[in-house]
Amino acid sequence: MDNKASDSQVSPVSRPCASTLERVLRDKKFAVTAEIVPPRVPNLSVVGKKFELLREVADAINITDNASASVKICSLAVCAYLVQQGGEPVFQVTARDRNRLALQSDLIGAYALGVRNVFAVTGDYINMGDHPAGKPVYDMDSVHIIQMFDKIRNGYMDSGVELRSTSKTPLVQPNFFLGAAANPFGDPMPFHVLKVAKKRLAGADFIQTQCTFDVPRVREFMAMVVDKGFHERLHFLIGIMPVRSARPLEFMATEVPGMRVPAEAIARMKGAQNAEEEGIQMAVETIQQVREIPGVSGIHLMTVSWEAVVPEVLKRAGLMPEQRGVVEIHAAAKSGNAS
Amino acid sequence: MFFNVKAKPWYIRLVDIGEQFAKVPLFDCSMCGQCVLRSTGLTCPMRCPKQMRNGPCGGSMNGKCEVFPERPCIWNLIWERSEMLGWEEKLENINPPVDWRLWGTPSWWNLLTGRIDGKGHAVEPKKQSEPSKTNQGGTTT
Repeated sequence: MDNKASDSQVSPVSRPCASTLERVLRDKKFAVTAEIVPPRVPNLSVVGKKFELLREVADAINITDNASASVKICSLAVCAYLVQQGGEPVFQVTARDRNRLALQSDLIGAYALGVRNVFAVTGDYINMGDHPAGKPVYDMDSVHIIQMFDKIRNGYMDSGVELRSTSKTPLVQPNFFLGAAANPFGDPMPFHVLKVAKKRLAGADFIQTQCTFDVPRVREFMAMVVDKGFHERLHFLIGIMPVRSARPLEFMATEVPGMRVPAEAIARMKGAQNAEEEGIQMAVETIQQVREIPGVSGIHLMTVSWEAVVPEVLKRAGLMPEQRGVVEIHAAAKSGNAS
Repeated sequence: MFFNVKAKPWYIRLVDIGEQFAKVPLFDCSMCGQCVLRSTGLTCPMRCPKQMRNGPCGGSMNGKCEVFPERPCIWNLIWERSEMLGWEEKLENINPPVDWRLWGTPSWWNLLTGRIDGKGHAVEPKKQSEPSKTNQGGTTT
């Protein structure tokens, strides 16, 4: 295989549509994904409530995998629960907690449970979370996971072992929609664009980015992406985070790696009469600006624990399912013929 | 140290000492056994806490490491040095995952015996009746 990221032609997508999210993006509709952070308490009723808020408005819901390296209910369990409830989860996997065996077995397990979207990242380092003394795995990096998962889509494990139960049964090619992360705010920016190119070559189908408070930076990043033509093969969903006060912004500006929060945004939130209202307004404005950027095919709403705001933000931004024209796709998915 | 002498035959140990003597002071080498220095601007990516072999993680900002902010981001250094050396094109290669069987063995020996290729990418060993000697490096389990 030629493994030069920039000059190789990635073959056009020939596999059938794997999920509702993929259908929305292939039909060139503007996609909206949301996010649920699983609870630490071993009880899924909280997830159920959050899911009810999001199920009608979002095309798919990301389930984080021990986000910020803190122990939560495992992503796979919550994904399986959402599938049972008739939802569309995006199974997030990190390389921090799993070696290549666990990554693959979790993937085929998720597929067997009906999960059709996967999102692979390297993951926050273990010393950021609640078990800083643990051994980080990092057997592979995000590019390797994507490459490996793409191989599984073709019916082969990373080692080359075929996915079939006996030598006489046909090769199984689990079809799923494969996502990766990108950070437009990281340095040096051309290198982060190059990394997107590597992920595209490895087999990624969609990209979800870090949350945006600095729109000009995203514009610059997407200009480089469009210039190289990567948007033709990859769907870009830009991360948006509505905030309730200035505090999380200050926290993100100083404590969270890879985030750029301009001082104006913090000042705006600090000076607001009604902070919640201002936070919603800020998110809506960001969405409207991001929508205009060439190459952007959707947004990814990261709300941490404020899922209730998602319908309001989408209503004001004009992104409710009927406005995006995805009602039929959602209905088709419910009746069981997504692809 | 003496355990290692017993774990590897003397000739591999000799290469090992030579490589460590050259690479540890110069590149902070961790003896991964599959050296990719020649495609990463002569800067060892295994110094990244996440041991990324294909570019910076999302936390790399202002040239600093997200895990240890007092350290430089090694991938930022790789970018700068590759530009300096005119090796930017080499950064476009996807480096395969680490073959952990080679951990703690000398790359030079692995290159000589064909266990890694010219880019430092591990090559699957030929099936042998007895396991290859280079695979007995002290991998932590």
